[in-house]
Amino acid sequence: MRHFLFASLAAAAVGFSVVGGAQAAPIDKQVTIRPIQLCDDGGLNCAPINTYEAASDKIWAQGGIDFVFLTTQMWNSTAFRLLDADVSEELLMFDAGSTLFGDPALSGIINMYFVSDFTITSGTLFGVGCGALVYAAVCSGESGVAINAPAVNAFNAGAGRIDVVAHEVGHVLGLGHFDFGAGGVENLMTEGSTRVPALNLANIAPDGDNRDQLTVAQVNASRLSFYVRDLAAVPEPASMAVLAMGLAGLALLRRRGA
Amino acid sequence: MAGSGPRDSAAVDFVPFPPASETVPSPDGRWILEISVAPRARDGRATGTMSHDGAMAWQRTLRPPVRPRFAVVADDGAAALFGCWNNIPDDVSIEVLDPEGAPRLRLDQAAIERAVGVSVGAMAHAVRHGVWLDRVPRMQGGQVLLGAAGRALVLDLRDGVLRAVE
Repeated sequence: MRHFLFASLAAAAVGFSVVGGAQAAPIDKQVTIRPIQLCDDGGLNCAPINTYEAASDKIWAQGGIDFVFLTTQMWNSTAFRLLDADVSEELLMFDAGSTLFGDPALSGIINMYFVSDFTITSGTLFGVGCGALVYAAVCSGESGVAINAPAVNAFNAGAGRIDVVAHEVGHVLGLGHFDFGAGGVENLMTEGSTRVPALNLANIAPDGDNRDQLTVAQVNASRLSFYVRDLAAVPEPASMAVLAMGLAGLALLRRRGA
Repeated sequence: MAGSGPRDSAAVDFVPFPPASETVPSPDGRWILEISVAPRARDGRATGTMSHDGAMAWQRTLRPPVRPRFAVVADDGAAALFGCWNNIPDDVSIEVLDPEGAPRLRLDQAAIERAVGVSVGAMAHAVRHGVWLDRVPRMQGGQVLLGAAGRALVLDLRDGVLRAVE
């Protein structure tokens, strides 16, 4: 009886801590992302692709969310390979990309564009994330993530700014730099000049230096996002065999009927 | 409008470039450390140039990536460098240079944790500057006053002892 009670209590305790950051929860949700690699019109000088999937998965495991990356698409566009400083070209890119690759607002799949630079004079822009209702005005209703691939990859002497992908997706899921408990150096969503990013997987919360934390409030808010879906069911081998047999049988019946 | 759109909003991950040049004087004003970086510095190292009574004392590449986040200079010409611009946790949290510009001593994260009595991870909620500081370091009476995790700390630049002030 005691063991049963303990097991029940342990099961009930699976979830999120009340104080401090969220802890790893069973993965029951996913965000699906379509990586898009920008190249010049000739298909050359492509932005490097690094989705930082392992870091993103560990960070968002705090919220029970897995990142699923689809096959990378290539887009030959000199115009969007390097984004200008003074024009919100990322919005134009998101709009054009929605037409070419699918509208995130309809599909629930986040288009993530890897570009070769944001040419701005005041600092380094590592990424932009649009798609949440809270950013509809500043994003002109567009959806997408743009990643400054060379800058992200060069950060920390080439080790990479491993939390940028997770941070920008957080914006798409409706999280800001100061809401839901963000603002401290340890939080994933804190603005870039203040945040102390994890430099490696070992220091991502809840391990090591406990970096890139998500609060319970952030987890709860993000899980309500349009882009967060139930984990896609993967058929078990036995189920697949039964399905295959059924389809084969249907095909046979159709042939006999013809 | 130039610069309008999500770049001016909260939907970005952005780190400003450091100032091209910053001067840090000693309390008596006789020593001045100039920290300079290349335009639009995103990586690399800063150059430190120390002058004494208007004459250059030394010039060298400073260790912290991009540039130190903070620096102080004592009246004897010693200097202390804290953190780095990009908030990258480093093996060296504090570096002290002697009046000739040579590294006198370095304090790592463990030294900070010993002085404060908590881990850097546990300090995070109190941090206001960089990786671990909760107040900007400043010179006072030949020592450096700073703080972490709500505790006032004192750093002696001569022997590198970092202790909490009771």
